[in-house]
Amino acid sequence: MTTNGALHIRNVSKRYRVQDSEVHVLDNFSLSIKPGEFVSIVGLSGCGKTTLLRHIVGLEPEYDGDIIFNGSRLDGPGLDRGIVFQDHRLFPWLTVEKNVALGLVGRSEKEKGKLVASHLELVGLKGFEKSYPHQLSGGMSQRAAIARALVNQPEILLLDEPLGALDALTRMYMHREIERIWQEEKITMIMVTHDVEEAVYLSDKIVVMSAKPGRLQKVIPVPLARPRDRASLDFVEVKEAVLEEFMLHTEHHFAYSI
Amino acid sequence: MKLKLDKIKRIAEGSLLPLAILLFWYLSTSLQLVRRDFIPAPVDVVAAFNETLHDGTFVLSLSKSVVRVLKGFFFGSAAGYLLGTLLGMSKTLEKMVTPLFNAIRQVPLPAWAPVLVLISNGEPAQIVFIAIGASYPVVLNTFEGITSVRKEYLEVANVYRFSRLKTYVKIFLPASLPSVLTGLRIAMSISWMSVVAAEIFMTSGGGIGEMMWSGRELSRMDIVFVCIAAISLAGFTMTALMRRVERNYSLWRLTMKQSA
Amino acid sequence: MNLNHNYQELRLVKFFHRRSAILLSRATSGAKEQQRQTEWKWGEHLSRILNTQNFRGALLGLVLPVVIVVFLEVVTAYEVFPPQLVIAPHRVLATFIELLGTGELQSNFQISMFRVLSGFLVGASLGFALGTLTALFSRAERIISPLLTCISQVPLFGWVPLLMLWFGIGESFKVVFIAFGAFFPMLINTFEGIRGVPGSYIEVARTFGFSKVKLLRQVLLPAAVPSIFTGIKLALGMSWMLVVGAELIAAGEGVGFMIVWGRQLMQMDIVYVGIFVVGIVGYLMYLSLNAVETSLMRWHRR
Ligand SMILES: Nc1ncnc2c1ncn2[C@@H]1O[C@H](COP(=O)(O)OP(=O)(O)OP(=O)(O)O)[C@@H](O)[C@H]1O
Ligand SMILES: [Mg+2]
Repeated sequence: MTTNGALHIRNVSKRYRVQDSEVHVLDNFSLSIKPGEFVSIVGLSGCGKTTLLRHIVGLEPEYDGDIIFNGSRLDGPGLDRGIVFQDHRLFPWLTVEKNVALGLVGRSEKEKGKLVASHLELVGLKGFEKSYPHQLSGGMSQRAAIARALVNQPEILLLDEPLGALDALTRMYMHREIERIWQEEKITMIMVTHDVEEAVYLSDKIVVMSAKPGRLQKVIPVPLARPRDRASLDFVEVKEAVLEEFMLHTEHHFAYSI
Repeated sequence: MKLKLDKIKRIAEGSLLPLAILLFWYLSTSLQLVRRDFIPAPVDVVAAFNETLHDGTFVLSLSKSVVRVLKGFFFGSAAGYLLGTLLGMSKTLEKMVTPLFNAIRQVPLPAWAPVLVLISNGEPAQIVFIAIGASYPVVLNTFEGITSVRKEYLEVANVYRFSRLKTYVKIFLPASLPSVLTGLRIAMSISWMSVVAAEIFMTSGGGIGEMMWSGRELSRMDIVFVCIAAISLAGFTMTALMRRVERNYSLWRLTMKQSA
Repeated sequence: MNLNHNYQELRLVKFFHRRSAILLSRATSGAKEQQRQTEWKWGEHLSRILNTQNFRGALLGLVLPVVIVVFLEVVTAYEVFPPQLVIAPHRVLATFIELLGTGELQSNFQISMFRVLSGFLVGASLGFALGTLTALFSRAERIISPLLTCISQVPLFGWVPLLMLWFGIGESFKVVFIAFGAFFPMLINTFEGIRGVPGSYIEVARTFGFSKVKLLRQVLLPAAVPSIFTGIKLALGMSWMLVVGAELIAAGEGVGFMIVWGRQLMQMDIVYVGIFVVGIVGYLMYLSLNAVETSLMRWHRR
């Protein structure tokens, strides 16, 4: 099928009712993502990035507009989409292994074991199968969460600031890991991040969002060869372009508030 | 408008089951489906209430129990507060007394009744019985309140060279108060449970629990029903009052924090 | 749901208990540590243990009981108090051994234990079931909880006359009475435990398309285990209290009966043995539940 793996977001709007007033979170948001693409979403805090991911994964089944995936409109969660939440949300009462196996259904025990083992290896957690989440470091927890989201072999993996809580060095290491996983699995990845450098390092294109209500401000392509060199001129140029969008945004914001 | 409607719906749903039970109670007794000495009819209960109200036994018994509860509650929580404070403020005392305290606390309250009866028959035994039950939650909550006072506050006390007494008055007392109030509320609810047990195990001098017990012996289930209702209502009211004090205090603290 | 049951108490009990347990474990683990280092020098090892501050702390706990025992021995030797009332600890111990020897203690204990367990099982499983039901379906909560709230306002011993009339004074009365006591703590803690499961966990389950049953079994119940366990402990403690109460009121056997019987014969040593046994058994039940809890909740962040 030609539509396989393609995601089209068309004129999506979302309002939350809070007591008697309404919060307009997403406004007429449109975006298309090709299969196998790596897309980053950046924007100020509270602009609706998490909300957008929640729509794609199907946790907000009621919305205006259309989110078309594999040719049909999404109205709920499905195993073809996985998500890594901002907080890793591993279940503390399960071992790493059992956490990863959580989403596997309709498979034999042997198959399950194989899939779990291969995915733990993929994220570099071999040897920690029997550990409990509280025995893992922050980066390891995020990797376990990635394995849990990947084990169903979804076509799209959504990542909500997966590295937000990590230190700079671990984060750079995790960038290479995520890139490797993405290349090995050949799936679409959509990542929310506050770190522009991270976005430039990993993405095929970067979506800049503006806030209140959340709108698409600009899509910036990143036509750089991989693996990327953070110090190269081209890299810095793209980074500057993204930051410029932010400046525009904040200046505007500033003027507005005066 | 919509909120009001929701509330009405909620109340309606909540009263569905109690109403059904009342109806069933009424029908089954008036249609003679059950023996009246097993379950008195609603009219019997109302009549018994009227009767005991008029001959004065109801008010007398209830007031006796209320006074008893208040006495037991007072002595129990005073002792509990003292012990909890001492244990909380002194590590040595904590290490010395906690194991014994924990061991004694494991003895189920009713087991003390036979001993208490021997030591002092009648009212004092009942009050001590209630006081024992009331003291435990106060000890535990006071202890928690005192030991979880933030170290920063104590450092302030050290800097200003507060005396032990002043440290207590200025820091431990106010900081532990919310937790103590919780303990007092629990103690109140336990006191009401204990007063009934006390009046069953150690009959003397009257009280609403004793009235209930003698109602049982006379096979006057209507009186038993009246007493149960009275005890529950009185216990509920007094615990609710304590809860209000507790809540008001924490609200007050909240506003203090915000304005600070 | 707003029951007249003070389930927070247990949180504090635990807190209190933990503090003393920590002190104790520090004392012993410090000792173990040193044992490894100085296994070949027993004398040095012993003196080190005795010098550990924590060990001294644990020893402090023994001071008061020893003082009390000595005091009682002295007081009884000089008959300061009426000798029928205050009994020398060594005589209580002798009676304890004697009752063990005749097997009286064991048989009474067994009977009480059987009553507690059956009442507890009935009450706790009902509480668990209703707690789960009301937590899962808010309509069920709206319909049932006002009634349960009302019922929970009745002080437990207020039920005794009714239950005695309806069930007689035999076993069924005791079991139902105990079940009443076990029911409410279990109900409220199951309810709160399930209601308190973070929405974020439920969302994870939703992204995997869990069914309702799978959600309950794999997310809600495991996440509620700490709270449910609090309910179990409280319910068992309550059951133990009520069995003694029930046996004081009406029984021909059981530990509670043994206490009444001793009092009627004015043999206070039997009464004290009864109180002692009841306290120790309550404590042991509590400790073993704690042990089960820790092993069940290895995952719990320390
Ligand atoms: N369930 C909800 N009910 C009401 N308002 C909500 C809800 N979820 C989100 N919002 C509002 O929607 C807006 C966007 O939230 P969202 O979590 O999507 O922001 P974000 O871009 O992910 O922010 P951050 O970078 O801080 O994670 C916020 O103003 C938030 O208050
Ligand atoms: Mg977010």
